Amino acid sequence: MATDIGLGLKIVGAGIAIGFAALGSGIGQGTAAAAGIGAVSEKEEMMGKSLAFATLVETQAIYGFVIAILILFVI
Amino acid sequence: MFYPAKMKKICVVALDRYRDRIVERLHVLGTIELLEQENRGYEGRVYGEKGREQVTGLLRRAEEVLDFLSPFETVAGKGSILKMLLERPAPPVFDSGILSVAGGNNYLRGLSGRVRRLRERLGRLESELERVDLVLTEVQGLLGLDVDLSRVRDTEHTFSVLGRVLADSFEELKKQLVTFDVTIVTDVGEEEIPLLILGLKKQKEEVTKTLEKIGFKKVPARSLKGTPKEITAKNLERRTTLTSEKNAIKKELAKTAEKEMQNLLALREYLEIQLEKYEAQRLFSETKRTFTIEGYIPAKKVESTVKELKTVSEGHATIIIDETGADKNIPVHFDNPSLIQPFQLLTRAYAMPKYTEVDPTWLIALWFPLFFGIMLTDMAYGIGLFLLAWFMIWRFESQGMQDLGKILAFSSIWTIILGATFGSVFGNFFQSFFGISFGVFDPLFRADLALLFAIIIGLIHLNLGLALGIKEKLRKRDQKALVFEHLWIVLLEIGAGLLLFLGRRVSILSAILFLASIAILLKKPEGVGPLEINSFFGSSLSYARLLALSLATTGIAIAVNEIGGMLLGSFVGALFGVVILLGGHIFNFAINVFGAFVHSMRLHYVEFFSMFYEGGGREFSPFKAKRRYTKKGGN
Repeated sequence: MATDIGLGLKIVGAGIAIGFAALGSGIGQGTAAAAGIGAVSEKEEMMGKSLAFATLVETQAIYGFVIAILILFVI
Repeated sequence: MFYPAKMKKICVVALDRYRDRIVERLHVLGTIELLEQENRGYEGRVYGEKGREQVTGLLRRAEEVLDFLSPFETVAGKGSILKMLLERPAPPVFDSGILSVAGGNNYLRGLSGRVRRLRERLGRLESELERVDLVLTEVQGLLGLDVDLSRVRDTEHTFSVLGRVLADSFEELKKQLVTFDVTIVTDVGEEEIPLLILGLKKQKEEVTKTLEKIGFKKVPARSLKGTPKEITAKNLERRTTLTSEKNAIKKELAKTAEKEMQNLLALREYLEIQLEKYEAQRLFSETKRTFTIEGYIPAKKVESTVKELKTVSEGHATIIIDETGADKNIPVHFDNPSLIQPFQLLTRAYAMPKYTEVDPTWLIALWFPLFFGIMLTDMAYGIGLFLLAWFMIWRFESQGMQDLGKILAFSSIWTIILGATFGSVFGNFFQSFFGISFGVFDPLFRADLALLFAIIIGLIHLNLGLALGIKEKLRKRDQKALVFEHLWIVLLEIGAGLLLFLGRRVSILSAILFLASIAILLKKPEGVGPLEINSFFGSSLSYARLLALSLATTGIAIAVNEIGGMLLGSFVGALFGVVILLGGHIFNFAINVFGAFVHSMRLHYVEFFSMFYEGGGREFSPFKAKRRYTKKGGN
């Protein structure tokens, strides 16, 4: 029984780690992408960099993802 | 390949009589970027002014006809969307008698006259149709009145007014008009009631005011003959005739557009090429009988260009080749083998390298497809991607689409190889439906190992960038940048490596290396000091996305297979199941191809380039004829 609770907590913990990280990243990505679209509409050459900026914010979600994997497989 | 092409400066001095041939040859070769000269023009004379005016005039006329005809080409409806998608662009026109100033002039004279006549007829028909529609709208509310409208006129002592009133207000109107000497001719109506009001002229003003108060909508009495019903019938008939005439003209215009569009586009391109040649001559410096061209040329093209110029000028041109020296504005020209040229698209999208900087295209060509493959990791999606890439190369002409298609083709190869290695075909499709499973390792169940694998790949990638950065700084003898940008990372990595592989035995040595790294960052003039360690750590972890996207592709595919599989029990369920399987996999393919592309790009732009690449060069822009509708070898 104790093992089951432990497993449950691990899964919830992993969910919280990736969930909140992705939420924050999503909000940030919205702002970055909106600014990027603005930049591209004024200067088309900015397309590549704008895409990179929009994905820049995703790093936080990746951290959440790494933590989730560590919780599930390593701890 | 590793650096942009070496450039030279070229100066050509020749007699005016060779001018046209030299300019023409240079335009075809496209090897020189022209530089503006100081002593332009000779005593106010601009060479070829008359010809330039002629070409400009013709170009304007061609564009006018093109602008008018192009909407009709789409109206002609080239068939279904599928046909449009699968139809390759028409072959280029090769001097069909119109690609010369005189030929173009003749061609345009005939065509623009014909198009103008059709255009005028169309205009007349459209304005008449508008008038007919206006009459129809106006008499529509009066249909119940059985009165010849031509007789609705003011006389010496009486006035008449036509209009409509809301059915609810009709009783009120009658009540208000009781005090006046008026006659009301009317008919029943559901929402609005048509009215003809006749009265004494001396009461006209007061009657009009009363009518306005009640909301009477006046219909202007035009010179219409007959009752509203007769007028409507006559105008409806007229409308049908006019519409069919209009459609016939539109059809004729669509036919003309379909037949002539390719020729017109070719002519426009030819004229633009001619104009560019005239415009370029404004950059030359001139004497009474000679002219001088100056520009940049890739060193590899010098020999062939000089040979060509000597031939066309019969040896009468003086050509001086010089080093670029300390010029600040030297253009950057890629110098890559054709296999990796498509990846220049990705370098360009970030920034052109500086003239003296390393060109990262070959590195992108090496790593981008691998990253893409890891992120997509599915054999079936890889085959789909290869077909998509092949289609893009086959269907589209533009350089950008061709390059993109080739990049995707290279990426699809890694996707297929890795998909086969990890046993992923539409996710777990074969395992789920046929019980067949293959592959050496399933990242979904050993995500920790896969994560380690992704981070190791990332560290190799980052260290390659680091090594390039160090090499560049050494080459430029920029010791300050070497220490503050790269050395601290090297110390940090060696410290961490020792600790990881040799353990506590070397902990003092590791600590010293860490402290040295921090000390360098504390001394760094700009930046955020030791916090940069955090950003390096972040960059390494960022490669975890390789695994994240790979798992996302597989995860969504498995979900689609599960949902689809659940429905396969009955016949109706199976129909839905197949739709879900098809739609789900197409969606997964589309979203993850996009994701893999953007994230592979980002790993290069953000993590990799920050180690060594600055960019900011100006791309070489040669004096060259851009042809799409006319064949090379035409004029």
